[in-house]
Amino acid sequence: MTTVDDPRTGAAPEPTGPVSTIDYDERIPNNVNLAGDRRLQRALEGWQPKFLDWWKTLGPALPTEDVYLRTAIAVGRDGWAHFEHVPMEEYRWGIFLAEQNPDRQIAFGKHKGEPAWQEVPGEHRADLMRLIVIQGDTEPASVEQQRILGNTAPSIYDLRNLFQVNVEEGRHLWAMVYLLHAYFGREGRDEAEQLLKRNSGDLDAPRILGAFNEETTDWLQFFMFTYFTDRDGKYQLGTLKESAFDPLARTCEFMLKEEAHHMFVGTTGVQRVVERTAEVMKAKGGEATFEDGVIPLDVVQKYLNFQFSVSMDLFGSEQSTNAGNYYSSGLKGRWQETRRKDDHVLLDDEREMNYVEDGQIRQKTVPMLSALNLDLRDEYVADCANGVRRWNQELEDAGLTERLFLPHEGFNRKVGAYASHHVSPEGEVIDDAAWEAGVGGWLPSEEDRRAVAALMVPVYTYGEFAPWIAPPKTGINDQPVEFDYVHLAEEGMA
Amino acid sequence: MTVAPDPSSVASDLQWVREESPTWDADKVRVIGGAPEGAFVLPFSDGEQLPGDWFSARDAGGAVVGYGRLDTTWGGDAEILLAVDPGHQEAGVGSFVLERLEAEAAARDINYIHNRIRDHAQRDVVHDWLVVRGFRGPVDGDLRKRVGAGGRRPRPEARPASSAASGTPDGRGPGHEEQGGYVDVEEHQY
Ligand SMILES: [Fe+2]
Ligand SMILES: [Fe+2]
Repeated sequence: MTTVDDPRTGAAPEPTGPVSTIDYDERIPNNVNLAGDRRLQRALEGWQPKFLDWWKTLGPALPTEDVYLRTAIAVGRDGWAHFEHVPMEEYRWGIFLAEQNPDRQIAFGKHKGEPAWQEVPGEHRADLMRLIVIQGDTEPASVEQQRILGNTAPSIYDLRNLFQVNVEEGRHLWAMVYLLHAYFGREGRDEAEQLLKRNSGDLDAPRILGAFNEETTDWLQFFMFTYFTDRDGKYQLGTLKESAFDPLARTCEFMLKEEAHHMFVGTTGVQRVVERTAEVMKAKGGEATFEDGVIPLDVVQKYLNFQFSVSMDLFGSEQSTNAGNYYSSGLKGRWQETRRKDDHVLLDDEREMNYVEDGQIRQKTVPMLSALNLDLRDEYVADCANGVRRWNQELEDAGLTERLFLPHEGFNRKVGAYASHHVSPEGEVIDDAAWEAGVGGWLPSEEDRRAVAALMVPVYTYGEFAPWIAPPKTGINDQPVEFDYVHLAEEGMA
Repeated sequence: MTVAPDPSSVASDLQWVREESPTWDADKVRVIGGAPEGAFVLPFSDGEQLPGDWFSARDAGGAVVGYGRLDTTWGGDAEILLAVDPGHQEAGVGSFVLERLEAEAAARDINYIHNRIRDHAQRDVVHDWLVVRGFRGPVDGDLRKRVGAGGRRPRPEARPASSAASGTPDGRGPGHEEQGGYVDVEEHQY
């Protein structure tokens, strides 16, 4: 990797911490010594053109010349990014695993204390492959869903962030495909093909989860998706980062480093929407409406309610036999497993969980091992609350008394203990009639979505922002906010 | 699983009942415990609560003749279990249970279900039975089936016309999130 001194690309800082450099001379950049395994290298080079076809067909629709993107050039403890303008289809998608710790031990389950696995144990092969396929299916799905968003970007800065997230979700697909190719033989290669054949919204071969088959039609939805749903993925990565299967753990650890910026995009995207709305509310001394050119706060709340509730469904049922088995066999840990102060085996542990009985939300005690989906979901909910606090700070700073909030965990759920019940955002179990009467105020209606969509007029002038969103505080990699982060192709500007 | 291929005559008088609080009870011992040895490993004791979503298939008189279970974990990982009472084989109960489980998965916005057949005497028979019903996969691995085609949520109709230097005092890597940098999960600020 050459260090470019072009002032436009920004000074790349010296790397710190142990560094395993990435080989960019290879067709597939990697730090796994791909050149040392010809068969694997050839197999992945065979998959590469299929990936590029997929990117060109189902990746971002807006024609661009190039985009100011980061690529990883080392995966040392502190990470190190290189930024430059690159045509997106020439982005160096590669295979980057976090540093190996040769002494790493399994931290939980029945194999606790044994050395981490460098190969897949036969007995766990099917389960591990399934976990990798499911993770791999979500990564490209969001790229497909967000395909047309570039056409309505509120600024060039936001457009760049969208594309950065998109190319990295593509890289996350690479990360899973590498594992499938390297460790699961012919079956793994078949699954890698399938990951490109299932497509978001395809009726015959959709993505695995319904939630990943809907087009993202506006930028508020994109920010909410990135905040709630991408975060959901982050929590799953956090459990796989603990896996006894070391290559999976190291893969996910590096993916989590990339996710930091994705989380930033979601959090501050919503925050900037709220900031702008709050500004108008303050100036008017009352409610802001679509006529004011901003997104009314109650519509922001409805979008929040929707995205939070569908993201909660992604965790599966509160109780699951498989989740317990994954844990006991060492395939998948808990969020921050090593920081937990218990025996990391959990055979005798219990916890409380909510359920609905006789129109009431009650609690029961269940074995901890059966409730690990819920354990992860609780960690996620606590994290979600942090962003809401940040957003409310904008309202407080504007001297307003209105606040956003996370709806009750039982609200609008299709999966788990609440699935066959209606629960209001405040957590009251209600009947069909009360649900029908209230739902228009809780979830975005067609009309709400149409009105938001009507605000989505592209702003492609450097440094300018659509009136419904505040500018960010700083730019990317020390560049000014008005930097030319994206060069549109001629046809993109028409 | 103990079901064998049966004609398309899916028993029409069966009822599908969701168990609000599933426990390991006498009916389950009879139906699931009646399967060939090794078909299931469900190490539960009497009266123990069961994880997952459980449903029973009941005949006109209310007697349990089959069970279905859906076990879902992160990302739409949905495994099914189905069992038919040894006294009600080849009467369409298995097909009924499978059909209903598929509908349950689809209602949860899940597009694929999977099943893995444990190594037991009737493994090949069960594999054939599932393949006939649309599952794909090896006898010793995951069998997967697309479910709920067309049952998608309606789509919204609306359509829109460095950085801090390395070795910073707080120890975070170059860039920080807001600068677009790579940041260890322990240090995430957003
Ligand atoms: Fe990702
Ligand atoms: Fe992401």
